Amino acid sequence: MSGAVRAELRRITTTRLWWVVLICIFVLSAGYSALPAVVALLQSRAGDISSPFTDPGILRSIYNGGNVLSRILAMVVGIVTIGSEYRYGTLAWNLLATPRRVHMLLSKAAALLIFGVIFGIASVAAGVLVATPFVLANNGSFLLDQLDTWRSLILGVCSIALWTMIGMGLGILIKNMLIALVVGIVLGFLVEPIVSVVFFMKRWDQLLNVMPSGATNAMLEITSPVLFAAKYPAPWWLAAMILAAWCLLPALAGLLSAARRDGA
Amino acid sequence: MQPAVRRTDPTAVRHTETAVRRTDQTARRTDPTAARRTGRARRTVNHEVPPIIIDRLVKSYNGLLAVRDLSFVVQPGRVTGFLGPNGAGKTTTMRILVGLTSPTTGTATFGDLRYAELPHPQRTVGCVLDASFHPARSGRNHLRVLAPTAGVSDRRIDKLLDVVGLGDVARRPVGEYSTGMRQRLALAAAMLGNPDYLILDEPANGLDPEGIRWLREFLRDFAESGRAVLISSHLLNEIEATADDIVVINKGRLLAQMPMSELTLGEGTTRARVSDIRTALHALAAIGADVETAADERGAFLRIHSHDVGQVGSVLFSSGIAVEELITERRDLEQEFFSMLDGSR
Repeated sequence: MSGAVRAELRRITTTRLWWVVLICIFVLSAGYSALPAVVALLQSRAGDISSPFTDPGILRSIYNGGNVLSRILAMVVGIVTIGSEYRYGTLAWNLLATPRRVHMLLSKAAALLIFGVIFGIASVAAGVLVATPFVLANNGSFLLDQLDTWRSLILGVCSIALWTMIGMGLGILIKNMLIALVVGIVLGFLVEPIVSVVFFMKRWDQLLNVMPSGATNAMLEITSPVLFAAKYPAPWWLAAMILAAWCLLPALAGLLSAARRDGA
Repeated sequence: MQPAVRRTDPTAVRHTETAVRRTDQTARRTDPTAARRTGRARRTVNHEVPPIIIDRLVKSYNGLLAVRDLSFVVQPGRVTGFLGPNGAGKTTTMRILVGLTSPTTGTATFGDLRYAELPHPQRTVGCVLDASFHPARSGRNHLRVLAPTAGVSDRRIDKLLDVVGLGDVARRPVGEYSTGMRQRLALAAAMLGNPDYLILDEPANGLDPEGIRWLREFLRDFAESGRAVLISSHLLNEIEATADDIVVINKGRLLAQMPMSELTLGEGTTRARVSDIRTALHALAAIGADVETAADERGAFLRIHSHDVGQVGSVLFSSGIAVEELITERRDLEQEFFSMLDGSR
């Protein structure tokens, strides 16, 4: 691993944020994964569905139950990691050590991506952990012998890692960390869901698929109307590319404006 | 075409270092005072350190010229003071030199190489621009973050923290540090890769008198080992005791570059406050002294264009004039500096 990436990893590990977020992601993911599990249990008790814990759709929604929240927290880490550098004027140190701006930013992105994967694993692990008692007590199956289940788990991890990158892109675009945080959280928790509901109601599936949350749902192959998922989601690989574009767009816009201003 | 870098094998440098340390020890045994003088871990660089070359540098911000056609050279083995009032373009020039700002035209290089072209930037150039740190990170961790790219171990970090006097607070968050402590930490960060050049922008800001003395000695030692120091300041007496050469700029333009020795050797004047100015004028005119009358908040006095206080005193005494004050007004850096700035208007 290059020195620049190791330096960026140390930048993240030497402040508290990463493990605070990691704990939050794990605990909240456990809570959010319990919801679909309990709903499935109640439905089976009422006799609506038989043996819910062998249904791949239900199990996937439990495993990735924390995704909707974890991705926002992962985005926050992305925003703060780059935003605090602008806030405290510390980017000069990075540039003195790694003079080529693009090289420095790519190293930062690589380090953040590693942490994004860790956040993703924490979120999915919490989901699997929560699923365990339900599966065992109800004579169900983890479906870990099925490729689709593994794909859903891995894509769940990847999608959260990509949201870390979206945060970094936002942080590059909006230099003021606090404004970037407010914009990120309002977009992620409020504007984006409302727009998605509108698209969902209007049945504009193509538009829904290009929204960050829509693309994430498509990636996870969540088709539940409760999550306002598109009826005809994009294939997971296309959805992943759409999500990657959401990382790159703000980052590139931010870099272009920074290059014009010629500031550090 | 890539210009050749004059840099020898790093292991060769290490060999010389041990050799130097051995001579130090021998010296300590024979002459304790000599040992105390050289006791600091002085490193001698056995490779040639090329000069810093600022060549016809221009920087304009939206048509406003921050640096105008600036050229000067920073020689190795010397401390170069970079002087000018606030807003003169010192920081801009230094930022261009280390690649944080791009010049409009012109170049700033270490020998032939721009900062971004250096194979190991942190091992070549140490730089203190503004002592900005993340407040939650400890001083030690700040250095640990810079260590992987500089290629240094945690042990060197701890040693450096002791050298700059932060050993005891190394694990405290920087938010608890005073400005002076931050400056010391920034200096430790600059020294991390044991560089050949030190670029310091107003390093004395926030340092206590003891810290300034320490910094002065540190920079002297650094330069004496054959390496180059560029240190900026808007306060002249700060530089006076440290710098071998000075570069004075104002409004982005070069006003002067000269060795410090030439600047301070200027003729001094003598100030005499006497009871009877008229008689004193006559008496001094009789020995051919160049005298003028001047005044300050305490009233009128005589300024004699000679720094021979003894001669002036004896003339006044033999003329029976009561002397209230007799003092040498050394023509100092401050005066020199301001007369240069006046000339540039």
